[in-house]
Amino acid sequence: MSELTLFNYQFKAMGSPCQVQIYTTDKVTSKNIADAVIGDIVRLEQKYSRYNPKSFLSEINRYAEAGKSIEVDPETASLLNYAVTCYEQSDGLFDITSGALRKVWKFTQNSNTLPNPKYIDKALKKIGWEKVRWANSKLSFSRTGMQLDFGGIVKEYATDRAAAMATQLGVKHGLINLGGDIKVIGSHPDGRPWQIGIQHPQKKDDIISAIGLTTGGMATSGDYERCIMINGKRYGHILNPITGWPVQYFSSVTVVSDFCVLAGSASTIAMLKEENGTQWLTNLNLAHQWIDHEGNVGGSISAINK
Amino acid sequence: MALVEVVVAVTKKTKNTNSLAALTIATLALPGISPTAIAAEAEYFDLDSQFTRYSESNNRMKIDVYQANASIPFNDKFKLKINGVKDVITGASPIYYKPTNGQAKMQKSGASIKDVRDAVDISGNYIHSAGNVGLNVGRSSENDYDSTFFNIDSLLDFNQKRTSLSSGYGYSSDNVWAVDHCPSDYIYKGSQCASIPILTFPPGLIPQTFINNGMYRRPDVGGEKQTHQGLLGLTQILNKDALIQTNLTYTHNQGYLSDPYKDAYLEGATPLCFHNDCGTYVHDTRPTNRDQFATLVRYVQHFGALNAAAMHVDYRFYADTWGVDAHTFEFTWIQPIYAGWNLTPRMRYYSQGAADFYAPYFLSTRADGFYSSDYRLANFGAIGGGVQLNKEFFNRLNLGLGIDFYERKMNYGINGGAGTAEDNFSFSMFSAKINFKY
Repeated sequence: MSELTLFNYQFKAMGSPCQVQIYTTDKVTSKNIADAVIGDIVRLEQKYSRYNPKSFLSEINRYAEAGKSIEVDPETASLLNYAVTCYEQSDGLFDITSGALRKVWKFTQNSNTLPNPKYIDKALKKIGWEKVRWANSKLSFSRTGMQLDFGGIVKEYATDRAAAMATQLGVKHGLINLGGDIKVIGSHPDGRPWQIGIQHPQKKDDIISAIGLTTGGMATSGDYERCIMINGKRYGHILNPITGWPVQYFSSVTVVSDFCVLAGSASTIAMLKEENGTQWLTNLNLAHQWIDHEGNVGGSISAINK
Repeated sequence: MALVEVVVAVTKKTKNTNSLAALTIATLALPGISPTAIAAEAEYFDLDSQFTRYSESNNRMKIDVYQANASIPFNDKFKLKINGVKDVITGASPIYYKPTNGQAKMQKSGASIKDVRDAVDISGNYIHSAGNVGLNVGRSSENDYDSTFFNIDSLLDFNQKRTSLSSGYGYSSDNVWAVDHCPSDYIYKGSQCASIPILTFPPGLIPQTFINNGMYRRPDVGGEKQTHQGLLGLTQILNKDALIQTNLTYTHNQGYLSDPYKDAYLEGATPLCFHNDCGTYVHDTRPTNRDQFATLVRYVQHFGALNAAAMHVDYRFYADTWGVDAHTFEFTWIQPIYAGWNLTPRMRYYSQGAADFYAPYFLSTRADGFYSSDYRLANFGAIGGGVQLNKEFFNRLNLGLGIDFYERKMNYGINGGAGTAEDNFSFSMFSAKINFKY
């Protein structure tokens, strides 16, 4: 049996730095596998990008904007079904229709004023999964001006798919990292777990804790990467679709689960639940870690890793 | 443990404590995120070939089966499949049983059987947003049986693919008869093989009923029959590692349902002679209607921690209007070992109660006029087991070898009814399989 070597492919996709790290016997094999895996990630980016007008999501959003109906393919249908479950489990906080709020809240460097509450109220009228009819692969928007956004689902789903695809192609040891959404394939060949550091939300180069994974996925939601400071107060980019305001309680939540997509939605739901998030995470019974705006750290991961 | 949690989660979706179960089920419905799901999703041109040899103990039947099929995907929605089978059956089969010192004594078919079956069928499968529909038509023929059949089936997914409902209907129209040998050099004439040397017939004047090699089609047995079958099934995903499947099958047969090759010993019947073998026997005679009911419950559990092993546990109950009832218990373990090697051991127990009109032999006439000594309608039990070894190469080529053993004994049964130890037998079966996708 020939020796396994670690090959690391770095690329940019879905607006984030990404890595495919796989152990194979030779470079050609690793390149072929990485090409196939990255090909699928690029496919999903092109299909579900909000920014690419040619994407299928943009097409859906043109129908949403017009308040019309559109038929979707099975893959999109299963993502929508997944989003419905998140909506139900979060009591309406995880809502893929909250896109209209992004037009009101702009999280760019030079934003220094809060949006006019009148515009927030106006945007809220165009938000709410209950305003969408979804049955038999057909999406019908009951009013104009709505927008869908698969943020918090597609990148994580792409991570799980990439790992499954690599496994299918014979990889026994590897790691997929799409901008912090992680899925590992086994341990390192010598049995060591993959050490994954959780970034400190306020100090960019600091790692607050590290976790060893030999299986499963991990995802972090945080408002530290994109936020605005107005009158000394932080406003993060995670918006509550019911109030229309950024969530305030946590600065980051990390969840570990068998699948990255589940970890990703669980961490986002916890962020959205604010002060009720801690209890919700405990009830969820998945390994997790949270850091609030006062710098307090909690959750089952820190208990294991400190 | 997880089972109970999930059941609750499905009924009370918004309860916090069940979020993990609900999210896990929704996650598993996403395409291609577990390696096996990707395998199922990829569409390949698929070629399959299989050879199976079945042989019973005591020089009873031996069957060789050659099977090949090709699956051709037209696009991601439509797939066509062509399947061909050739069976070669040789050996001897029990005809009837004579009472000898109070025990049934088997009389096997005098001449050895040699039969070839050719079957071909074509099926199309269409995948739509909520499931798939399939149609299958085919024909099978051998020198004493032909069958034309079709099936339609449908699978509907709902509840975010956690639940699927399958239904199907099948119809077949069959013709069954018996062929037999005339003693060498003699041909069939009238109702028996006449003692007329074949050479005395001038060329071109050989009677139509003469088939070939001295085989003729018996006019006294055989007929047409029709079968209607309906199926309803439900599969429920319980959690990411377990599912439960149930189905119910109803079959209605009508027409000639007897076995044209079998007879039953009946004390006092007018002696019949055949090939100089005379006895007081009657032809196998069964009712012309039969309603069959079967129900299956299957539980599948995956064990991620045991190198992705899987366990299947099946129970099947069967009953029909002929008075036959049966229980089947089956256990299969699928164990991936290393580098594409898979080992699949399985165990099976079967118990059947006899048909109302079955007996090894009959000492008096029956009011309904039905008689059968067919060992397949007797009371018996059977224990079977086997193991299959598979190896996958380059994700494209799959080679498999299998061995199966089976032992049938009258006293293994728990259902009751008539039977005879004379029909105790065992068989072994070897199979080799090759599958190639490209």
